Amino acid sequence: MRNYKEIIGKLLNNQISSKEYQAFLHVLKRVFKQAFKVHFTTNIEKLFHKYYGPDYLEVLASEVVFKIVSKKESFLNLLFIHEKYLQSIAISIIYFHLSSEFKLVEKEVNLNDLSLTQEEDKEQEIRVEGLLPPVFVNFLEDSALNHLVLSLKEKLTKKELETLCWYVNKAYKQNPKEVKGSADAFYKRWERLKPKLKKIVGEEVLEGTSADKLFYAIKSEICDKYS
Amino acid sequence: MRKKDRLQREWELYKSLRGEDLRIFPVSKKVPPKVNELRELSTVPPVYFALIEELPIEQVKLFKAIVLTEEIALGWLGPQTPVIKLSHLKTVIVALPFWVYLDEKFLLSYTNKLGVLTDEDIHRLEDYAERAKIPQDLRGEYIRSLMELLAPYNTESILTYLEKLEEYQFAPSVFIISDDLKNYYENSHFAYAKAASSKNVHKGKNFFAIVEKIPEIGPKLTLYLPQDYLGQKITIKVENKVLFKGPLETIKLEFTNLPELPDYTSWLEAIDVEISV
Repeated sequence: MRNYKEIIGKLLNNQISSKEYQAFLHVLKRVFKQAFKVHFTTNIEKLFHKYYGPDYLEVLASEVVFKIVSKKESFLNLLFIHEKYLQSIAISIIYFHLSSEFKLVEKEVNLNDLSLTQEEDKEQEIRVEGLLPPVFVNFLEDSALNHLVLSLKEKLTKKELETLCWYVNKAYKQNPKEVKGSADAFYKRWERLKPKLKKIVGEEVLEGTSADKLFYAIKSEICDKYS
Repeated sequence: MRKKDRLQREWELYKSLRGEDLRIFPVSKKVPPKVNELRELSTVPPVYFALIEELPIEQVKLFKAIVLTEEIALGWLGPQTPVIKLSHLKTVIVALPFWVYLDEKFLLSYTNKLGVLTDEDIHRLEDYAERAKIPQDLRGEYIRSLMELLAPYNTESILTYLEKLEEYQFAPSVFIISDDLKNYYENSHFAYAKAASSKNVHKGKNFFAIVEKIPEIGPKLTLYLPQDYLGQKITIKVENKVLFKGPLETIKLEFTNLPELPDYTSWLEAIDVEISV
């Protein structure tokens, strides 16, 4: 388990050699690659490639350096800087660009341009965002729905999943496929299942506007694979 | 191929970074807190506060603060969730549906001022925190874990109140003060006590007390006690008269049938909470 404290300390104290800096950037690029793979989607990584060009990992790695310098004091406080922390910074930067719809890209961050001292206090203009980019909202909605569907898969019995799929297929006006038992029996089973479903996914989801999206996700992720 | 659960992965990464406690670091540039400010708590991963209200209690200023986070997938509950971009830090944060009360000293010592929000945005954050429901899923688990981590930092390491948390864990114990005790206080020196400034909120050494005047039931006292008192036998007195004695089942206690006093300041100041031996 590598501790990045020393290299970050050198970076913050302006004692980092060019070779060490390049090696650190290499680590950061690997961290971003991993963050895209584990926490985002291939399509999102492709968007970064599209907007930032083939050197998108290089650009993003430089932004981590920028962030480390901007938060110098916090980094110097830490006794151990785990790669997971670098990963969480990478994730945060990816979210930042998703929320900005790639409009705030800085093509190059030159280490020499960075002030290694804390910036003088200036009143930063901060505001709550209005309309968010669809790519950001869709990704987050999809992540939440995906989590709900996987929770259902885990928490419902095979019979309960069968009942859920019967309901979803019925709601989507498709004929339930070769189910054993009468519609009446399924209806009763569905009524019994509802309280458990509400507990897992939350009443506001089940009866709110996102119910359609949830049922669609259940259909494609559970029911279509069951049949 | 099994589809990955991104929420679960973000939660696992968050837990591995956070550890069991909230380790906070003092900041070098101490800027006195003011309402409307956005501040960052010096911890890993960071936690953000939007200061929406200032409550003067005793000599200490107490701030009501909406909590915001960098854990986007865990904190974002839908398109209504307020999002703030911090371009100078290449960071985006989302508001969480709860608030805490933090004192001036804590904010001064452990948080960095990041900037100032407009009144309109402050109202949006407050409105969201009041209306949004905490979900039952992993996001709810994350939000509640953060509430618990922040609880000890409410007003100088003494728990004050986390109003939303009560819905889940801290339903109040309700007591009715006896008529005899009520009459006693109404005829005591408390009936004539006048404070320099009238307050209905008091922060004692190990409790937080609020008197609210509710039209239907008259004045009501709410006491918030430290979490580590739970299960212990405690005695609550107001100037040697016992209001409550017994094991503490909830950290929030409500008392009704309060004496009708023109001013509760000195009565609240006379409250004493002790652990019984």
